[in-house]
Amino acid sequence: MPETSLELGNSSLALSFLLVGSCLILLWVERLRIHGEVIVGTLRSFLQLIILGYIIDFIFSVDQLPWMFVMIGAMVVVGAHTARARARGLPRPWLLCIASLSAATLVSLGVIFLFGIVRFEGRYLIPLAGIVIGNAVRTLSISLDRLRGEMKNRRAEVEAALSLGAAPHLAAQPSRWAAIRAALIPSIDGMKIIGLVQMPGAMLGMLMAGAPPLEAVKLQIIVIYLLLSSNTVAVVAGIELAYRSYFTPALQLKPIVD
Amino acid sequence: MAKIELRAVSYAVPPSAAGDGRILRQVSLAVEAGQSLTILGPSGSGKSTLLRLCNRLIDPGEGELFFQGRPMFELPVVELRRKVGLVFQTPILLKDLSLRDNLLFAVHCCRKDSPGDEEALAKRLLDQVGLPVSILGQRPEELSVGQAQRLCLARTLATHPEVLLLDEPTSALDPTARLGIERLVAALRRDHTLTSIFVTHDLAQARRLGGRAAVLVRGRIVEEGPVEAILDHPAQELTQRFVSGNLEEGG
Repeated sequence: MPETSLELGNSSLALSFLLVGSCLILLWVERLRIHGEVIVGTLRSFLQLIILGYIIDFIFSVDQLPWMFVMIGAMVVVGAHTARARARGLPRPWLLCIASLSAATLVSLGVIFLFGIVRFEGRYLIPLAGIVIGNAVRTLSISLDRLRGEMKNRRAEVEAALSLGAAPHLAAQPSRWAAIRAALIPSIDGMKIIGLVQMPGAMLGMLMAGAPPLEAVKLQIIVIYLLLSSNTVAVVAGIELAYRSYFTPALQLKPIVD
Repeated sequence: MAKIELRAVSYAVPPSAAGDGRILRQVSLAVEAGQSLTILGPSGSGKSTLLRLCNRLIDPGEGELFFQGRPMFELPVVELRRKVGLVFQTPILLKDLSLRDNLLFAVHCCRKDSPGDEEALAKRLLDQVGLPVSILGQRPEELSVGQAQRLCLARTLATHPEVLLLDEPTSALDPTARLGIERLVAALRRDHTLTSIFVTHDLAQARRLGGRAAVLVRGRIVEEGPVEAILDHPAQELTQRFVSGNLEEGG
């Protein structure tokens, strides 16, 4: 792959604030008072990405596995912190999210690197782990939220199944399935329309870095299959861990409080 | 030895603005094997809670429940639930399953039962509740409430329960369907291998069912005896007020 052919200087970066300016001007014309949030968002994204850039720069320059694993671990922890909000009411939500996100990362990236689909190098490992964890956080959040809603709405059905001697796994089956389906359908639908409307990120990056279009497409295809796998692992692991905590050891449905 | 027995059972939910949360207070009750009992009481008196305790969908805060002389919590809960079947107030069909899978749910969820001929079993269960086999071709939402309740009763009978708990099973039904279910229950009660507890707030229905009754008001058993005696000559003041319609909702 050729070295990056896109020379972005600090002046380019500074001038890109003109784009933020266009947003602020329009908001001012509309008298819409959300410019405070726009400024906060602009500054946060700027700072967070600059810091991320320095961290990745450091990790690439050290080029040692332990540092890469520290960074991936940190991404899992931060991701779990975000997804945890959707796991409210569950015992040890933090642990549940860490376990699901770790499983998703290990399984999907395990396949990618063990089978040599992508060469095991830091510059591949770190971005792929980032996209895997970022997506898994979103799907895990959706599924945990949906599971809670389903368990609450289907309370009578769940208890009817229990009363007939069903184990919690079976009594909660419609809720588990609905939660998994709801979380995965955006990924599946996304696969169906990918490339028709907008150009996906990984491909965009490679094209702009000067790679041949078909190389860029190959990487993009690998990335979407990677995300399909990691999202599924995260959601199935999360739901399998979460549904149990709606039941007592005596196989009774606990009250679900808001 | 009683088939099912409650000894000084109390149950409470967290107190709220609506009340102190105490639903059952020191309830003691025993039903002998093969007997049937009607539990009569105004809505909100704790009748459903009492049945849910017997199926172990909930556990009491105080007191103990016994099945054939053994504390219920000593028995594997799945085994207990299959021996003490519960029919709910409104028919609860499992929406994602076909009617056939609803009917045979209890058979499918415990593979060790080895049902043998499922078709014959389905037919026998439907016969028992007076539904034609052709009904299995319909979708759950096409059934009338009465048909759905019959199917739910058949679904519970599929586990061969030794005790049948019926929680106001006719309160959601029209008068004709109500009488139909009552006749079914009467036929099941005549089978003296089955022990049953029928919960109702309907005095006329209790009289039609006959047999022994217990009156539950404000979470307490206030009177027990033959249903005619209770309805015609109530001994307790709370029973008198309930029978004469002078008891507020919730007891």
